[in-house]
Amino acid sequence: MATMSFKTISLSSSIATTANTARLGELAFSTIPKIIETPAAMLYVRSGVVPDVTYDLIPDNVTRLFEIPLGSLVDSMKNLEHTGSYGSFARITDPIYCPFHDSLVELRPGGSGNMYSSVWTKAGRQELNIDRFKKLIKLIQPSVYEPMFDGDTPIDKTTEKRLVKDRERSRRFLESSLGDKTILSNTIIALVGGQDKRHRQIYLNDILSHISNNENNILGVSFEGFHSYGPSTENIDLNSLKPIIEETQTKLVDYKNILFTMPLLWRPDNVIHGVDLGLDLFSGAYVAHISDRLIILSFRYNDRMSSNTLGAEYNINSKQYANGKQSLVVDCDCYTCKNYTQAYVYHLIQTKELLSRTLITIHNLYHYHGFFQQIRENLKANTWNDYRIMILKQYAIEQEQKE
Amino acid sequence: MTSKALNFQVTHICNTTKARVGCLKFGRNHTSRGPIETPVFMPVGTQGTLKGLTPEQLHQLNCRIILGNTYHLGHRPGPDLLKEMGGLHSFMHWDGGLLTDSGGFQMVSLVKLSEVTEEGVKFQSPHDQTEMLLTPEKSIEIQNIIGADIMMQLDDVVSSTISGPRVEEAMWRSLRWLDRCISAHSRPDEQSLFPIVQGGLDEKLREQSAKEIVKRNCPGYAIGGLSGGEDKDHFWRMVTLSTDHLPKDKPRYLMGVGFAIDLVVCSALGCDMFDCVFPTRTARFGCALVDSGQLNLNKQIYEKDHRLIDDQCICPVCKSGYTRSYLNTIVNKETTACHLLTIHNVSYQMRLMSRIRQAIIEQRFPDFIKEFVSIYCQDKDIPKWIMNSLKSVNIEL
Repeated sequence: MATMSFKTISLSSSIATTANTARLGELAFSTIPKIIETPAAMLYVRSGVVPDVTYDLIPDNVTRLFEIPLGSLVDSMKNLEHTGSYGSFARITDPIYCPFHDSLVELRPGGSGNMYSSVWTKAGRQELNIDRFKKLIKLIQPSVYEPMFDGDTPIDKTTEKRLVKDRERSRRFLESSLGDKTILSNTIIALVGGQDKRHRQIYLNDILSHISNNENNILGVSFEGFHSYGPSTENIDLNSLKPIIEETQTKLVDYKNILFTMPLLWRPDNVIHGVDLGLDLFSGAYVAHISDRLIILSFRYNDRMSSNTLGAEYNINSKQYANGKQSLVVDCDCYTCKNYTQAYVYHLIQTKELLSRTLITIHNLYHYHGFFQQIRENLKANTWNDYRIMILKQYAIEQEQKE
Repeated sequence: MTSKALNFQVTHICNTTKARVGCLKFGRNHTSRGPIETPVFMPVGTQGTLKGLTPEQLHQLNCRIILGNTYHLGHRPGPDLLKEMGGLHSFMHWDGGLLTDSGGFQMVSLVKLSEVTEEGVKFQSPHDQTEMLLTPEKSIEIQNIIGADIMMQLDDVVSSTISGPRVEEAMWRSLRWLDRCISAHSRPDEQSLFPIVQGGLDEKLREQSAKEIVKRNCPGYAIGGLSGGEDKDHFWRMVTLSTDHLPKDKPRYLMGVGFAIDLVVCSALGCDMFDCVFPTRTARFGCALVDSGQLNLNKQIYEKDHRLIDDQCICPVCKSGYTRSYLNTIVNKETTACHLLTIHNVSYQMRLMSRIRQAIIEQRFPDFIKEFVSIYCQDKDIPKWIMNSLKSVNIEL
């Protein structure tokens, strides 16, 4: 497994005075001569491919850290034997992170037992016990992975007893991963406990010794168990989680090089809140989520873009675009916007042609990753406060209009 | 041979068979598009897109000409929008060659309630149930708006499995419609109109059809009414009879043919252009084309098959090293698998045509055919129609 390391870069003091925990960081790899700057979105990949787009069409500005949910790989286990690694099997040379759950798929309750947990795919549940999980990780050889956990703690439906089970099981699963030398390196540890502050604190205390004992192998922590994943997480109110996340960060304050991540369908306004909360790595599943629903990202994310009349996002599958002679977003330099009109994309949708989602995904990838690039630029340039307000305003108008 | 909007030069002729290699150029003064080397296979992009691939990807696969379907494009996006957008080339961002059919075939294959009269094809719109009439003039009007480099005449399509007076009626009507199409054609300097040889499986009718059509002195000719489930022994005889009566200096387009073995045989019978939905359609079902036929990658036997689809293949998918085993994990699961197999299959067709052309140029086409047939048939008996058709062009298997 490739060795990965993370380090944070302190920002100049003016940002710190805003009581903001936003930060810059760098992910480095022992085997690949590249550095990924954070905050960054990963590239959402399922079964080794980006939904609807072949790799030759992925825009150049996309961060090439592949987020491949484990659920999409369970079915491939038989094929994967004796192939060396999933990277070589699926012809992927970029680093791979395997989160346990798929941000796009809603977790249904009841997937965990004392000795197993489940991953969910569109096709349903896949049960993984500790041995099967370890075998899968050994076959995949991801650059970094998230050890199995329970995390079945839906809001309002989780009893005290369930929270205790959640902690016990998650800890057992974590220890089994950390105890196995062959899959020891490069993990992102799931922090569980639902939305219950006390349980989250207990869990963190329980596993804190593991973090300090394995600091070289633990790349970061992932805030899990806040939600049930899937489409509804697009609208989550991140500010309500702020106290819990902050408390965890306080506890981990001495571990400067622990990366923070959280699975979510990261709508751009929530990305801003996430950066404010000090998160470093973001799931890229939001692009796949909206592209599948024919939604175009159109918010203004840099100074070169003129303010548009389309709103922060819009659905291209609407009759008003049937004769649209402009590109999906004016001033956009992506492949789709440089070469096609709204009318053409609308036509492809009406005729149910595969190319519609391809062109939409290309645009959204370019827009989303360009947005993250601007986030980093503005953090570096000390203009974060203005930048975050510019983005939040656009989404606030969007919300008002919806209501 | 050269007309205002099309230039075709035969550059090499096979010493044994009727095969030839040629070069096509399109547009005003033949500078718009091309050169396109023949024999050529044209993938079908029915609705202004080729099944998920971008024009750049097609170009990379050496694909220089594709098909569009007038019936579909006339309905969506419709002639008004296409006109506003300056034609299909610019609408779909494709600067290669384009050929449109007349819309007549879909009338028969898709629309249940169609009635053919002398005026045109009457049909009930499947979209709003109103009665519509597709006339030769209407078909050409739409094709002029689409702006394809090659347009097809509207013909009276009958199934290739029927015989009798209906076939004869259709042949003569198609001829009358051809004349109406020629008069309706408003952009002869930029677009070329191809007539279609008809006559079903009747040698006499086909000969008559070809002779009459050739009198119209068009830039190229199509062979139609075949590849509709007729006996293969009839099929090849009709193909070779048609090419016998078509001028040597003009391109000959065999409609609806695209299986590898058919492309090899019909190139030997003197055809220059082919189209078929099969390679792209079968890709979407998880099937990859190889010389021996196709691999259905959904099958369990590929779970542990760590070979490439075809180690001779130069397509980006095989070059990237995707194995049958890997593809087995994504077919029928991720649409990206459709893209990958469509890339492979289009590339397969392009490379097959390139191999055919190279063999003709180097005067080793007969050997190429023999080797191809042996790989295609493997240990099975060679079908009679292949033996017979190749024998007719001096190749003994």
